[in-house]
Amino acid sequence: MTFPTDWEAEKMAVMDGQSGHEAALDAFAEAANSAGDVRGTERMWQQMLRVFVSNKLAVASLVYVVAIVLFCFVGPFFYHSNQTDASASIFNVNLPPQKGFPLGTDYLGFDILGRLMFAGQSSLELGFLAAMISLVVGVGYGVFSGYVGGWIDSLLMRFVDVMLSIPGLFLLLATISLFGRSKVLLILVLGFTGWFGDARLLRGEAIALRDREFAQAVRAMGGGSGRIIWRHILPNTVSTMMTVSTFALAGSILALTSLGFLGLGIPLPETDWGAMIQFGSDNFQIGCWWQVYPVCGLFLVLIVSFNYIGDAMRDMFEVRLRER
Amino acid sequence: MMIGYFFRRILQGIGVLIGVSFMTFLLPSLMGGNIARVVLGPHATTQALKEFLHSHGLDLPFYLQYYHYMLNLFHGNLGYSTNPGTLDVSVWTVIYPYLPRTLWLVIISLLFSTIISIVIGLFQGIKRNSFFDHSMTFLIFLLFSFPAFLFSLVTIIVFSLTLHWFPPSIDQPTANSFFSPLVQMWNYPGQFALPLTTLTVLGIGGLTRFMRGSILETMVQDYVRTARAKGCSPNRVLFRHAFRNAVLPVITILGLSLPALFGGALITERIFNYPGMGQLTVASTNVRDVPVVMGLTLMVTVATVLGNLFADIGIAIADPRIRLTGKR
Repeated sequence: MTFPTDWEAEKMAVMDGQSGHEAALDAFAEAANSAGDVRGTERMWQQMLRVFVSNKLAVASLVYVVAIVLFCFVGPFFYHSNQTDASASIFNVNLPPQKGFPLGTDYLGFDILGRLMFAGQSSLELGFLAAMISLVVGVGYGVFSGYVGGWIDSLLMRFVDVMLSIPGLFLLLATISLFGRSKVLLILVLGFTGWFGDARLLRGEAIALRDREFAQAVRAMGGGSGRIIWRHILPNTVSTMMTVSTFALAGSILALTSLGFLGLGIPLPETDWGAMIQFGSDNFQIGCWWQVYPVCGLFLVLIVSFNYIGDAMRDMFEVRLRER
Repeated sequence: MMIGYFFRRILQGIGVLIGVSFMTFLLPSLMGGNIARVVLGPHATTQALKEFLHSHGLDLPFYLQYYHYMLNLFHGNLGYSTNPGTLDVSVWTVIYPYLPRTLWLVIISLLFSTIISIVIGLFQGIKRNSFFDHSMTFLIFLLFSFPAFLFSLVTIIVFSLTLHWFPPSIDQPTANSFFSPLVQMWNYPGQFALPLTTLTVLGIGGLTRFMRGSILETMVQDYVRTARAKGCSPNRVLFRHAFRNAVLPVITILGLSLPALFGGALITERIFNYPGMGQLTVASTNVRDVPVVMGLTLMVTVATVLGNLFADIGIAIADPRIRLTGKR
């Protein structure tokens, strides 16, 4: 499979434009970009997919992440265990792995295997929602700042500089000390303290894109700023956004787990992996290894997997950038 | 020219600090009157709440509050603790003993990670694509994704609880002077071995990667080729011509790794039960002692900004190109 040459791509773009495949304005602007190929897009995706699939570790990582998500959210339908009634579990405290408790029980007597799913649900949910918030805020802020430019841009970016110079964990704790912690508050706090780096990255992209030929073409034909941002700048930053969101997901799950480990995560009766690791490590000295190894292993491989996927994604999109 | 560059750079640092102090002022005021509720508890009467707000100047208009806050800040007054244990003690008195402990932990580990990553990165760069290069890249990637608390946990389990080489925690410090943490480290290196290792490893990942790239970039420069062409020995080319130029950019990255290091120190202190800024921050967050947490956040940011400033000034002294063009 070969990537179409510039000439072919241009021809295809023009042909598609004539067949009325897109609004004439956008098609023409894309044609002006000369590599913005409408039919070539499909091939480009195939090619990027091939680059990703050729990275065996990344594929394994993706499989692992999907498996963990299924384990946490579908697992409880097949594996029933008591995770909320502390008065019933009190007789099973700190049991080693045995029949009925394949991975033993924790300091409250809850079954560890079920606990992994139960804690994983909140860790993944909160991590995902927080990452989405930080992505939306970061992309919006960065693209707006870069597109507008001038003194507004300078002002907005100085704010990002200020926030980035505060060590992240301290900022998190400062916000938690103010607002307290509940599930919703943790999502908001994690989401609204994690977007500064993303904003800086996306601002750079927006600056690079706002004066490209296709944006100028839209402007020349009377298209407004909203159209340029929404139809032309944002679609062109999809690759950055996907890479950023992978790392954001890993980052927010990691931050949440760190908080849980510090005893500042989701309050009981709910729990997260960080709290499991903390209480497990307290009990490790009295020999409860089963409270530490499974959750640490599961979590560590998850974080490494996210990093691999992020790296592979960057490689994958670099192919596209190179071809452009 | 040089003075001008320093002046600009220092002004920039001061600007960031003013911004941060504004944030540490703004965040608590976002809560408005709720802060009285947090301090006095849910059963406080309306009268008591009002009196609290009035006595702390929280019923004044926004700009006046900010004016008082900044005035106090310039007098070294960060406010007063609301923790029942240290109620109304000035924040500075509460946090001062904790500052040098974390600071030295971070400085020493930064020193170690700089040396180690420069050496590893150098050899990776020279022996590019060798077995050493690939295995190091993989190892560093692995260490890079290791969260600080998991790494500390693993080192404790392996070296402390299983092999019994090092104690799993640090003795409580007895002295509070600026250099006493350093003395304690010198006297009990075994206790500090694991926490320092954790923080060092935390810093190594990014630095090594950067050093490797830097040396690869330098080795293809014209002046390196010239040095080779005129017959310098490979070692001389490497250490006289390439090394110094390759190391310089690493200094700038040093400053940038500070925020992550302070975050790592927070977790490491907690695990090894070392009463530094991180321990205090966690404890104060638990009891919602907002003024102390804000004071600590401000202090840790001041340290970060100063670190970056020193790094930039250091590199400008070493590399004239930077102070002449004013760009990194």
